[in-house]
Amino acid sequence: MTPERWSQIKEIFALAAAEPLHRRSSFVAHACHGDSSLESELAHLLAQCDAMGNFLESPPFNAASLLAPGDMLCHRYEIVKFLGAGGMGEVYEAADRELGEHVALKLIHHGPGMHERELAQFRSEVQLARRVTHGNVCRIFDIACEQREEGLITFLTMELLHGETLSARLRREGRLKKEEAKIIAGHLCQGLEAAHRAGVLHCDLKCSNVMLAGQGQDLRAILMDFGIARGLQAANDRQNGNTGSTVALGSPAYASPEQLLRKPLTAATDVYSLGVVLFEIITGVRPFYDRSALAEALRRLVDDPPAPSALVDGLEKNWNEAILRCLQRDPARRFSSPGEIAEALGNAHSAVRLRRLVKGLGAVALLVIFLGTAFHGRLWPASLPDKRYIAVLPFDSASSNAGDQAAAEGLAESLSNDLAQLGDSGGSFWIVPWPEVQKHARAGSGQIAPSLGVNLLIGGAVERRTGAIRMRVFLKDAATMRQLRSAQWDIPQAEMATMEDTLLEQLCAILQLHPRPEMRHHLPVNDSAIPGIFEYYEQGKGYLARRNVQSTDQAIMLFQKVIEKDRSFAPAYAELALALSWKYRNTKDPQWYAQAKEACARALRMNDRLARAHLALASITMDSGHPEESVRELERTLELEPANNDAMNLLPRAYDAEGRTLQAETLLKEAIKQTPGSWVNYNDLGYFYFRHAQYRQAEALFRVATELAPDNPRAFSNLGGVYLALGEYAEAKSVLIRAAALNPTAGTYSNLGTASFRLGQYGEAADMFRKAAELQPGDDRLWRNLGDAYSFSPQTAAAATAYIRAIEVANRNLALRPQDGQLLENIALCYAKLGRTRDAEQALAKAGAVARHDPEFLFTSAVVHELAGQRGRALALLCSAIRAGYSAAEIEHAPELSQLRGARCGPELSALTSIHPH
Amino acid sequence: MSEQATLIRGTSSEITSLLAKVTQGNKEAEERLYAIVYRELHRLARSYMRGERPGHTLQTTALVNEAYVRLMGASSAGWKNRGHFLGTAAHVMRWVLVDHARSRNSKKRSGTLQKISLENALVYRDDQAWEVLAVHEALNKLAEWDQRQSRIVELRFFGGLDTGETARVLGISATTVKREFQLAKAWLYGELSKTPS
Repeated sequence: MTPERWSQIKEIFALAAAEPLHRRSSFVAHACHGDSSLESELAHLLAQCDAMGNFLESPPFNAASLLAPGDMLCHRYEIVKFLGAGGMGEVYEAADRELGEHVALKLIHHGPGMHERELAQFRSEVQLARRVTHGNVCRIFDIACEQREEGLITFLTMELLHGETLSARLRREGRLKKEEAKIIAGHLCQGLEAAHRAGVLHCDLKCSNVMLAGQGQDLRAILMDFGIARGLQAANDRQNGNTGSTVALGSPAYASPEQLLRKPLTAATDVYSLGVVLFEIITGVRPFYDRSALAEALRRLVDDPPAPSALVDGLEKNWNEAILRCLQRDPARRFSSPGEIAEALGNAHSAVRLRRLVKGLGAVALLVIFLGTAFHGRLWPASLPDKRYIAVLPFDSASSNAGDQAAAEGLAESLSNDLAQLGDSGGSFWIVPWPEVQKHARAGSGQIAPSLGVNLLIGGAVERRTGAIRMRVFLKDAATMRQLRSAQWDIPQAEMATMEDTLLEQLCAILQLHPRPEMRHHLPVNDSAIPGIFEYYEQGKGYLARRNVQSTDQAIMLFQKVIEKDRSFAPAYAELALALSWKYRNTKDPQWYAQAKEACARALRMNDRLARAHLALASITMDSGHPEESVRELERTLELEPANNDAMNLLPRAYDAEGRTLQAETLLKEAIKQTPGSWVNYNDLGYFYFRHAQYRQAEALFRVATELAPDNPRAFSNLGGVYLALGEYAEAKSVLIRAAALNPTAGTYSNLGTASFRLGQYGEAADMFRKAAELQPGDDRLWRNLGDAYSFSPQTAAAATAYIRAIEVANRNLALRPQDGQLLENIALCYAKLGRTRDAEQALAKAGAVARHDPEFLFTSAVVHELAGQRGRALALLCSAIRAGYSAAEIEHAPELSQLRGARCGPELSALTSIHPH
Repeated sequence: MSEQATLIRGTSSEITSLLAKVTQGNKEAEERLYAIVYRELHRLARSYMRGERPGHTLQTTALVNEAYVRLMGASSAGWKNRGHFLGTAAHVMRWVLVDHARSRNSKKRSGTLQKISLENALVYRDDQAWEVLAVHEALNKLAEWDQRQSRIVELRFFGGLDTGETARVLGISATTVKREFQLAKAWLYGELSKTPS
C-alpha cells in the first residue's frame, strides 16, 4: 500500500459508506474508473465495515483480575478462567487437581493488616457456614491462604454454579413473572431456613448473592456467600480490639435498620434483607431505591416502604402483607423465621403445582418456553428501567450545511422541552434541562451518564433525501451505551410542519408515554405554504437552541426572514421575541428591549397561548427591573407548559427580586420534591442559599448534586465556591481541582485562584487567575483578582497593569450595561487599590445610585473606604455587611482589611464576626 | 539514585514545564514525560488491583484521567497541555498493554514466571491478549502509509479517548476523526480476521 493509493481509497470509502446499501457497488464502480483492483479493495473494506459491529469500540481491558489462567494455588487449584468480580473480590473457575473436579474460587479482599489471629477468626466463621448443606445454599468446600508476590491471598473454594445472578436477571428483564418469582421466593426461604437452623446468619443477603441455575422446572435459586460477611466482621472486630459490632455490615441497599445502626444482629436481619429481595423480584425495584446509596440507606430508618401491591397490579394480598412484614423497622415485628415467610406465601404448594403443570403439558409446552426465551430479545423490545432520567442529545445531521445541522439540534431541544412536560408526580421520570446538555456538549469532556446524572440517552439523526426528510431516533442505556430501542421514518417535504409533532409521537411510543393533545406545536400544515419557510423556522430554532451570542444573532435573522415571507406565522414571532429578549439580556441595550416587546405583542395578538412569547416577555420585564410583571408572565408560561425549564428557572429569581424570598425558596424545594432525582434542582436551591449567604445549607445541597451527577463539573465548582465562602480553603481547593479536571472554565480557575490566594500561595493564585482571565478576557473581576494576586507575590509591579486592565474592561462593559452596579463597584475597588482615592469614591457613589444594598455591595464599600483611609466609615459598613449575612470568612481573610484587623479595633471586628449566624 | 527518584516521581510543576517543552518538540522532554506517565499508570493500575480503591473495574479512560489529575495536581494546565498529556498517555497505554500481552503469551507457552512483575497489575481478559498484539502489529503496518490514521486508533482504542478528545489532541475536526477511525477499523478488522492466532 502506498500513501497515495490509500488516500484515493479513503476518499471513495467515505463517500461510498454514506450511500445506501443498494447503490454502493454501482457508486464504487463509477468512482474507480475501471481500476478493478481498487474496486475490489473497496468492496472488501466496505463489507468489513458492515460486519465489524463494535470492533475496537471498547477499550482493550476493563476487568482487572489478580490471577491468570494456569496459576496454581496451594499446589492444588489451577485457575481455569476469570468469572467475574463481586463486592468481596474476584471469582475464578479452578480445577481441583486432588478431587478432579471444577470449583469456584473466590478471593477475599481484606485490609493489609489482617494477621494470623484475625484470619483464624475469619476461618472459624466460614467453617461454621460449611455445615450448611442444602440444595438452595451454595456449598463451601475449603478456605485457604497462599503467600504470593502481591501479598497474602485468602480464598474460598465452593460449588461451581452455572447460571446468572438474580441481580443480573433483574437488570436484564426487569421484574420477574409472578410464577417464577414464587418459585425463587420459595427456594430462598428454604435455603435461609436451613442455614438458620444450623446457626448460621448470612448478613449480606442481596440479589447479587443469589444464583439462578437451570430453567423451567429445573430452575434452582441458590444462596451464596454464607459466612463471609460475618467472618470479615469478626476478623475486623478482633483487629480493632472490639468485641461489639463496630463495622457496618452488608450492602447499604439491603441492610436492615439494625445493621445500619450497628446493633446486635439476629435471624430477623436476614428476614429483612430477604424482604428487600422479594420486593425487588416482585416489583422490579428496591423499596427505598435512590441513586444515592446513602439516601437509600437513611430512608429506611425513617420511612415505611411503599406497598408492593401499589406497584404491581393484581398482587395477592398475602404476598403484599408478607413482604411488608419482612420490612418492618422493628425486628420483633418481622417473621421470626424464613420458614414462616414461606408459609405466609403458601409457597411450597404452588411450586409443586407448577412443576406438575409443566410436566402435564409435556414437550410441547417446554418447546414454547424455550422458543420464548430464545426469541425474547428480538420479538420484544428491551425493557426500560423504572426510573428514567433522560438526556436528549443534539441530533446529528447528515448534511454538511450549517443551517441543517442547527435545525437538527433545534428539533432535539423541542423534543426535550416537550418530553419534560410529560413528567409524572412520582419523580421517576426526568428530562435534563436542555441548557445542561448544551453545557456538557460544549465542554466536550467527561462521561455523559455521571456528568448529567442520567441513565438513558435519546439521540437521533436527520437526513435530507429527495422529496423527504428521514428521521432516526434511538434510546440508549447511558452507562453501557447499548441501544435499547430505535425508530426511523420519512416525512414528505410538503409535511415538514408536522416534524416536531411526529417526533414527539414516536418518542412517546418508545418511552410508553402519552402525549397530551394540547402539546401539539400548532404549525399549520398548509398546501400553499411558502417554500423554505419551515426550513428557516427550524434552523432559527436550532440556532436559538445553541444559546450563545453569535447563534442568537443568526436566529434573529432567520426568524425575520420567515416573518418577511409570512406575516401570519405567529410561532415565528414568538421565537423572534425570545431571541431578542436574550439579545437584550446580553447587551442591556434598550433598542432590543423595544423590538422584543413589539414581537411579543404581535405573537400574543395572534395567539395568546404561545408559551415562548410569554417567556420572552417575562425575560425582558425581569431584566428591565420589573419583577412583578415578570412573575405574572412566568406564571402564565407555566400554566401553558407546566415544566418549561426556562420559566421554572426564572420564577424563583423573579420572586426573589420582588422580595418574596420565602416564595422563591418554597418553589425551589417543591421542585426537588417533584423530581428528587434531578441534580439540577438541588443545584438551583443550593445556589439560592448561596446567594442568601446560607452556606451550610448550600453545601449540603451541592453535595447531593455531586452525588447524583458525580462527574458534573458545575456541581463541584459550586461546592468549591461554598467552601471558599466558608473559609475552608484546602477543602475548596481539592473540590475545585476536580471541577477543573472535568471542565476547565474561567470560573473554576478563578475560584481555584481564590483558594490558593487565601492559603497564601500567591504565585499559584496569580497563575490561576491569569488562566481564568485568558479564558474570559471580557470579565473585569478576573483581571482585578489577578492584580490582587500579583500585589502579594514577588511580581508587585505586574499588579498595577492588571488593575488598569480591569478598569478598562469594566468601562467597556459599562458602555453595554450602564446600570450594572457591580461593574462600578469593581472599578471603585481597582482605583482604591491603585491609590486613586478620588476616582474610587466617585465610582462608588455612582454604584450606590444604581445598586441594591446587598451584603456584597456593603462589603465592597467597606473595603474601598478602608483603602481610602476612612476607617470609621469602613467599620460601620462592615457591620452592616455582617448583619446582612456576608461571609465571616471573607471578612476574616480579606487581605485589604489586614491592617484594620491588626489595629486596635481588631477585637471590635472579631466581636462583629462572631455574631455572624452559622 | 536521587536523580532517578525525582525523574520518576515528577512534580506537577515539572510536568507542566515538560509539557510546555513537548509542545515545542523537545524529544528529551518527551522521553522524560513518557517515563513519568508510564510509571504512574502502572502504579495506579496496581493499586486498583490490590483493592486499595473501591470498585473493581478498571477502565482506560478512568485510569488516564486519574493519572492526569494526580500528576498535574493543583497546577492542572489548560486544554492544550491536557491534549498533549492524553496523547502521551494513550501511547503509554499501548505499550503497557502490549508488553503485558507479550509476557502473558510467553508465560502461557513456557510456563515460566514472568520477568516483569509489574505486569501482574494490569490484566485484561485473557481472550483479548491476542487482539491487543494483533491490533498493535497491524497498526504498525498501517502507520507505514498513514501515520495519522494509526495514531487515531491508538488514541481511541488504547487511550480510551473519545472522538472529541482525539480531535483536540490532533488538532483536527471530530468529523475527520470519525471518518478516519471508521476506515481504519474496517481495514484492521480485515487484517485481524486474516490471521487469527
